[in-house]
Parts: sequence; C-alpha cells; structure tokens
Amino acid sequence: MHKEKFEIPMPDGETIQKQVKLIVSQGVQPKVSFYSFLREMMSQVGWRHLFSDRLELGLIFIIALSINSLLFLLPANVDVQAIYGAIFLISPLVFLSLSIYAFVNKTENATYEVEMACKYNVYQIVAFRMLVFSIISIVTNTIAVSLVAMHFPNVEFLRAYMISTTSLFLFSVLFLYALMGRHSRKYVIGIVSLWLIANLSVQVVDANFYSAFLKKTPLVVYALVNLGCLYGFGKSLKKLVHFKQMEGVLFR
Amino acid sequence: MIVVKDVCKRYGDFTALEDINLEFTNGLYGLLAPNGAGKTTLIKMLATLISPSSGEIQYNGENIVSMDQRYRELLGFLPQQFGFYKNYSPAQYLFYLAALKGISKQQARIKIDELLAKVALSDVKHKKMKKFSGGMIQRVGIAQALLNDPKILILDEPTAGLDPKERARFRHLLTDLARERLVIISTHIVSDIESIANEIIMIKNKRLLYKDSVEQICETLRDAVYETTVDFSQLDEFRKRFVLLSEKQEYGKMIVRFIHKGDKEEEWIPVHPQLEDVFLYEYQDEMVEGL
Repeated sequence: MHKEKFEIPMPDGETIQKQVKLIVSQGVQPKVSFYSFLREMMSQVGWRHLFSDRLELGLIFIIALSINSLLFLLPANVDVQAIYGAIFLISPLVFLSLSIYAFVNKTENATYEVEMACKYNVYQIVAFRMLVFSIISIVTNTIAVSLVAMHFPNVEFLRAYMISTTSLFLFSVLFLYALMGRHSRKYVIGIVSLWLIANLSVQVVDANFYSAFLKKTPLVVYALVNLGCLYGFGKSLKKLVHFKQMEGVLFR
Repeated sequence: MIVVKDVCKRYGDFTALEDINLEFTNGLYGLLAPNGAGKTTLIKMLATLISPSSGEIQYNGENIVSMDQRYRELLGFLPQQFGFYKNYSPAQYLFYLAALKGISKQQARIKIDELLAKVALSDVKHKKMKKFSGGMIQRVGIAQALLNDPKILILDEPTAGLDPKERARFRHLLTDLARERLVIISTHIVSDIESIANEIIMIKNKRLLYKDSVEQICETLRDAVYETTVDFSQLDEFRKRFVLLSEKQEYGKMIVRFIHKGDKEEEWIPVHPQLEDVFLYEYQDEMVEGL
C-alpha cells in the first residue's frame, strides 16, 4: 500500500530556542529568594498590618526595656565574669518573650483559620515578626551592653557584644528548632527552661569554668559561632515561612 | 479543576476520612452529611489548613500543598467558626484581611464597599463588631471570603446564624457566584443546597457515599417512599416496622412519610423522593446514635 509522506519543515534554531524559553517561562515557577519574599510581603501587607496590634508594640518596648535593665541590678563591685555570665543568660530573653507572645497570640486566636487561608498566612507573618524581633533584640542588647561597658570599666565592649549576639542567635536557633520539630508546647517550654537551668547551674556548680569560658574564648571563635547560628536562624525562619501542617495547629 | 485523589486523614488511631476520590469543576457543590461525618476535615484539607495523611489534592494537576501561596491566592474560605477581632469594625477587619491577601489599598477600598453592600452591612461598616449579632458576623465572614474574587470558594456551614430572609439572599448570591467559579459548601441543612447545588456529595462511614445531581441521588429511593395515614395506637408498631421520614398530625390521625423497599400495601400513596428523604434514610443510624 502506498503511504503518503508528509513533509514537516524543521524549525530553525532561533525558533526552537524561543519556544523552549516560552515553555519554561510559563511552566516553571521562578524561585523566590527569602529576602525577596520578605520584601514583597512587606510592600503588599505593610507595616501597619504586620504589627496591627498597637498594644503589642507597647508591650515590645516595655519588655525590651525591663529585661535589659535587669543587668543594672548587678551590684557595683561585681566580678567582671559574672557580668559576662549575666549578659549571656539575659540576651535572648527579649527575643524569646516577644516571639512566644507573637506566636501564641496568632496561633491561639479565633482568627487563625481565616488568616491561615490568606495569601500571607499566620506562619509567614510570625516569621517576619521574629526577624524584626531579632533586630530589635540586637539593637536593645547593643544599647544595654554599651551602657554596661560604660558603667563597669572592667567590661570589654566587643567581648560583651559578641557574647550577647552569640547567645541570642544560639538560643533563637534552638527555639525555632523546638517550635517546628516537635509541634508541642511542652517541648518548647522544656527547651527554654533547659537554657535557663543549664546556664544557672553551670554558674553555680563551677563558676570559674563558666566565667573563664566566656572570658577567655577568643573573639574569632565567637564570630564563627555567631555566623553559624545566624545562618541557622535564617534557615529556620525560611522553613517557618513554608511550614506545612499535618495534624492541626502547631504549638498546642 | 480540583481533584481529590485517594485521600485519607488519620489522627493517631482514629480515621476521619478514608479513600476519598472526587473531582470538582466550576459550579456549586454541596457537601452534605450529619455533624461529625468528616465534612470539616475534608473542607480543611481543601483549604490547606491540614494535609492529608495519604493521597493528595490537586488543582489543575498540581498538588495544592506544593502550590502554597499560589493556591491561597485563588482561594476564598469561610471556616465553621469565623473568628474576628471584637474591637475592629467590618471595614477595618476587611482592610486587614485584604492586606494579608495581597490586595492593594485602592483595590481593597472599592471591593470592600461593594461587598459590604452585597451582604447588607454598608450602614454598620464603621461600627465595632462586638455589638453584632451572629448573622451579621456571618455576613462579614462571607464578605471576607469574596475579597480576592476567588476562583475557588469554600464555605463551611455558611448559613449558621442566618435568619430565613438572610438565607434566601445568601442562596441568590451563591447562585450568581457559582456561574464563573468553583463553590463548595458544607452543610447539614438540606434546604440550604437542595435547590442550588449542581452536585451533592455525601460522606458515610468515612467514605464517599454519593457525588451526583440531586435528581440522581433521589432516584436511589425511587418507588420506595410512601405516605399513609395511621391511627395513634398503631404508630409505635409502624415506627418499628419502617424507616419514618416525617410525621404530621391531621384530623386526629397521623400522616406518615416512610421508606419501604418491597411490595406496597393498597392504602399507601407513592410519593416522589426528596433529598431530605435520602439524607434521613442514609444517616438513620447516625441520627439515632446522636440522640
């Protein structure tokens, strides 16, 4: 049987490339970086709605102020090591109290389901707030550390600053890990308590070792730990932005 | 199009839904089942509030969980318990939610006025919601679900708290909306969806029972629904023998509507089955357990 042969003209290279680009641009979703995502969210949602609760803003400043002023309760003749210890212990507390408040406030509220179905959901808003809280914490901790350095002449500002930021990011990573890893309130409370108890008990049991550790660890080591924790913190926040639920609400 | 593929949802040892397969195109779908049957679980999975334990839900071939905010941009959702901030006015709350939905301020202003008029709340748009009745709150909930002009509208028990007039207005609104989008309504009130749904979905024993038009579902009870008059003295015996759908007192006797599959008796009058009859028949055991 005679078969009719069809002549199909082969498109030229330029047409093929154009078509490939067209298919890829329409079929593949471009990857949005964490930074661009946050920027887009900020421009679309706006500060006014990201921090919609005026009471919350007032609370942020009161908490930040009162926690940092704890450092000034130290007696004037206190040992410099004890000051470093106190900075290490207190530095993450501003971040912790603000983040827990923001998290519980959003996830326990009756508006949770409505807000979860929006383009920017509860976890994305909470992640953004945590980032802002970490910046607030750095700023307030830096101010507090500067005042402490001025008040206690034996305190080295750079070391105190490094201890403060290392402690803040080390704790933040632990906190976010607990929040997303186990989805349980008890687990988060456990991690926070562990941080406080471990720090206090090392200070009580072997004060010399603890103080020497904080005072003698080279600043380069602090800087490296700091960078590592900062990276971990960024990654954890990014994970929270894309957090998917299996059972129900996180942190119950 | 939304496709629900082999979806199961388990909470520890408890299975809420098993092996659910569904397809939704544009139009209005009524998810009808008694309380506790798994309607809200299915609705929450469709709204990505929770994820299936196994299986997946796709929108135009893509997993809705992976689509993440691209899916939520298409979604309008009213949860069973619509939460709100008591000190906000409807306008304030809708502006807030519009921002979370990524709608610009200018667009939101126009849309909010239009929607508040649609749900008859224009007069109170600046009043604090703590003074609102349940029906008014529910209307704010319906308005927020429509803010982003969603392609997929999912409403969980939307008529709860609405009076008959508001229900009728709501049905008209839904019929209009379903012309160009996919609307899924979960309810246990048959009259809410009987006259407007293109298809009804019924879930029983954690599995899909029906997904069909009202007419086709009613066909399952064809030649099985009757009405007859019974003396009060015979009523208890009658109740034991048949599945009673309704009882009405008239001139000292009872007119009963019931189901019987088999030979009919002479005095029984065959009647056309309604969706309510199928609902009562299919869920008779669950209703007795629930009493």
